[in-house]
Amino acid sequence: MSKAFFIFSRLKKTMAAIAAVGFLFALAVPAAAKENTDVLVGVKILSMLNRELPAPLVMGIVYDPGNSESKSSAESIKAVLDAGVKTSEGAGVSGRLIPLAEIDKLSQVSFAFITTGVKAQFDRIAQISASHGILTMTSDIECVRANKCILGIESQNVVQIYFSRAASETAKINFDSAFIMLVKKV
Amino acid sequence: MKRSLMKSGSVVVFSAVAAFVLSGGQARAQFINYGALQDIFDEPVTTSATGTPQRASETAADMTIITADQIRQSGLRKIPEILNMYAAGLNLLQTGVNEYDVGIRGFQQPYSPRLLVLIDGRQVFNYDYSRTQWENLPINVDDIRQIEVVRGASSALFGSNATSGVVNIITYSPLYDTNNVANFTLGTQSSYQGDATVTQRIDRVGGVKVSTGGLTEHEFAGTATGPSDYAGAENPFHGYVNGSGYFKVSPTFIVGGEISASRKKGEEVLPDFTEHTTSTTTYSVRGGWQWASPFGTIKHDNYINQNILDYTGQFPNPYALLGAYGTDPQVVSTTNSLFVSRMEDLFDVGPSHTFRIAGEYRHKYITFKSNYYDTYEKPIINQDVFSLGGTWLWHIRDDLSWTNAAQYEVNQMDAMGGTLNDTVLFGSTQPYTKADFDRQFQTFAFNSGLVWTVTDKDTLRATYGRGIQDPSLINAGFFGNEYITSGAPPGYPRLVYQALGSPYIKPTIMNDYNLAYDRKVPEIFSKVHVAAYYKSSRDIIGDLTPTVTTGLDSHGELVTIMTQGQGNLGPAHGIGGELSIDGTFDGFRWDASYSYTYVHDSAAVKEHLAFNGSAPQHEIRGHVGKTIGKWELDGSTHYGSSTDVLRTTTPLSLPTIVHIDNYYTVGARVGYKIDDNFVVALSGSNLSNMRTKENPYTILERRLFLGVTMHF
Repeated sequence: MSKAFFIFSRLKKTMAAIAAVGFLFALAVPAAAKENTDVLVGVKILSMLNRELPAPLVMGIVYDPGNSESKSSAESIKAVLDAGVKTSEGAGVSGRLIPLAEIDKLSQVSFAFITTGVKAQFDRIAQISASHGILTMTSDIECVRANKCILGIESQNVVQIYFSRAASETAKINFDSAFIMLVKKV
Repeated sequence: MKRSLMKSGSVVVFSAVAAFVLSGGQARAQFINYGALQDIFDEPVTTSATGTPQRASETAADMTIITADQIRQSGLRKIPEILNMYAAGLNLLQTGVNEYDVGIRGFQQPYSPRLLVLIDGRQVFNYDYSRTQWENLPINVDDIRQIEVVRGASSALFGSNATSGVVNIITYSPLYDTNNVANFTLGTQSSYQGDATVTQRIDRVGGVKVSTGGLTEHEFAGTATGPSDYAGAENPFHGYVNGSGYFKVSPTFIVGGEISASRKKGEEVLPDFTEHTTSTTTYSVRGGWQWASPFGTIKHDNYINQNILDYTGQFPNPYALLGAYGTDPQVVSTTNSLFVSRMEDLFDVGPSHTFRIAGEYRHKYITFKSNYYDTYEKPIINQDVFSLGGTWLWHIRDDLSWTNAAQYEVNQMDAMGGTLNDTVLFGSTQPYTKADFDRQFQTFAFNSGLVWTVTDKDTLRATYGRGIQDPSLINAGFFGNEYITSGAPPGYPRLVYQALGSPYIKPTIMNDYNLAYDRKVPEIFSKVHVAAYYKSSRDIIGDLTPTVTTGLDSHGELVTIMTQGQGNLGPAHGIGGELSIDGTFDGFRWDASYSYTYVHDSAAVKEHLAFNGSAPQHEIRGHVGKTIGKWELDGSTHYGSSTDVLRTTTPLSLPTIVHIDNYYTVGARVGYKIDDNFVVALSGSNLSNMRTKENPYTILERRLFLGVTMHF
């Protein structure tokens, strides 16, 4: 009886642990998957830039190695880009992981995707974007609302694009006027 | 913030001044990268609702967007038939194998003057009677990106005549799209049709595009052609060519131009419900630019349309009234022209407000001649229209927006030629002098629309439109008043035929209230649309009762004067709505709709136009399709309830009502993709019946087509 109880107790703990891992996994994986689709929308938006980005197109993926959500998102995005993503004009886009500690490398990429969970470096990201004219896009709409990122992208259910005119003007990034009419300005 | 406000303020002032000083209107389609925007936002984008680019789901108008895929899957190659398959609330009056009039939500009549049609933002309206010659549009159906159908008055955006709705046909832009396609289709009724489009692009710089095509076919056996047999009525044809080029001079500056020519011949039904053979040659030239400036997106658009028409037929052969026909059918020729110059500025003020300020100048004229008129002095009617308008789009919240648009127009008219200066000739029978035609009138159009995205699945729209229908050039000013001798049977007195426009005719005002609800139903991969409307129209324009008088003219000669006048008939009111569903899943696609329309006519409107029975009160449309590998299979059906449609069989007499029973038709298409560039399709319309009568003017026949389409 006691052995059975022990086994049952262990089983419960195991089940609970599996459930907890599953729950965390469920939280983490959809976030990554969500940002993957946001990135694909972001690549399409490149055709709306008023100036052509020089080839080769490299997307900087800014993440916080200490934040598991941010890290897994970044790795997932990199994997998606490595699998082959092209702009509507047919140019290939490669990904480059940029941990927060190396944030200055943001100046070396064509454009950047800011993963969720790097709020502490919003100011620095905005500075580099402004000084080097780097287009920044993110799934973290807070970054756009704070006028630190230029574009915020939501692609679940209904596509919504958020736009910070202030960040855009500071970085001297201009878009097709029709596109700007369709986005939500913060 | 202060700097931003100052900048916003200066933008408003600059834009207002620029628009006022220069001259304005709707967005020019070829400047917009529809394909890329649709790809990003996962839904079509349109400018037809507010003049500003909007996602289809967020428009402040009740509209249907028909995509290029839907056009291909329909198996149809004539735009009115494509509209009739997909657009709920649309009423088609097909009076011949290639003759159409299209109305929206009732109020249907030949030469429908209440639906404004545009190709890439250019009006293709024919201002003689204010109507669209659908069968003469200079366009390749394979070059259409999408067709936008707006239900409801939109005059504040598009100007006069958008009183029931707007159809904006958007073609592929050579600036952004490479569309190289050719189609050849053979069909029953000795139908031969060919179309081709070739595009040459320089990536991110620009491109040029040329389209050409035409068709010839045999008229339906049941098509009425009037009392005489007129050359050309049996074998209608249409041919066209158009070219366009658009270039980015800089990242923010685009220039472009278009040119087109088209010609048609076929049977038409005029607003007096008589049939005629007409041939029309149409030319257009267009040029403009767009600048994404610090003051907003500024556009300047200029174009000229010219239509040269020959009417042959009972127009009338005037001696018919006296019990005999003349020796020749009467040929009436008109030339009408439209010049438009518009400028607009589209700009944001803060994150929540978008403004469009527009100014526009339009010049219209018509000339007239007839082979019956021996005292020929060409009458000319001119109209100059100055308009100033704008749109204010307010994003109140992320889920709530409010759009208001207004347009004020000043219409200046004058006339010359004809017999206007010859009042001596007809003495008291001359109702107007030249001074009567030198007049001015003003109109004010307004639109308001509230869009509430209740949830990700639910959207509510409440809209109001005050639409204006200006009198056509013939309604308002045409004055044909001439002795007629040619073709007179021996012994008959000379005739004077007065086609009498009225300079004092008032514009028709349409107040249009609309409530619409969209609901996504992901459980069945579909979207449901429900709409209800009420519209009230006053001062409806139409033909007055013809009169015939006989007397001595000022020279003492006995003449018979026949007069066909124009005037305001009175009010009419309409109510109705649409219920539709569409969706796609796993290669399946479907759409179905039910439309209800009821129009209450005042007495004079009932006598002269009879809107009440002019279109089916109940219409049901259905379509289902499936893509299986290389095969595309589509079928459609259409039911229309019975109608009571007017027809005139005796020249210069009142039309009489003809009852038409309810009908249904079935269409289908089977397409096979041989490879990525080559498709063969077998399609048919009216398959369920050998012959179907939908109106008094023709009997539709079963038709089959075999077409090949090649992309290269």
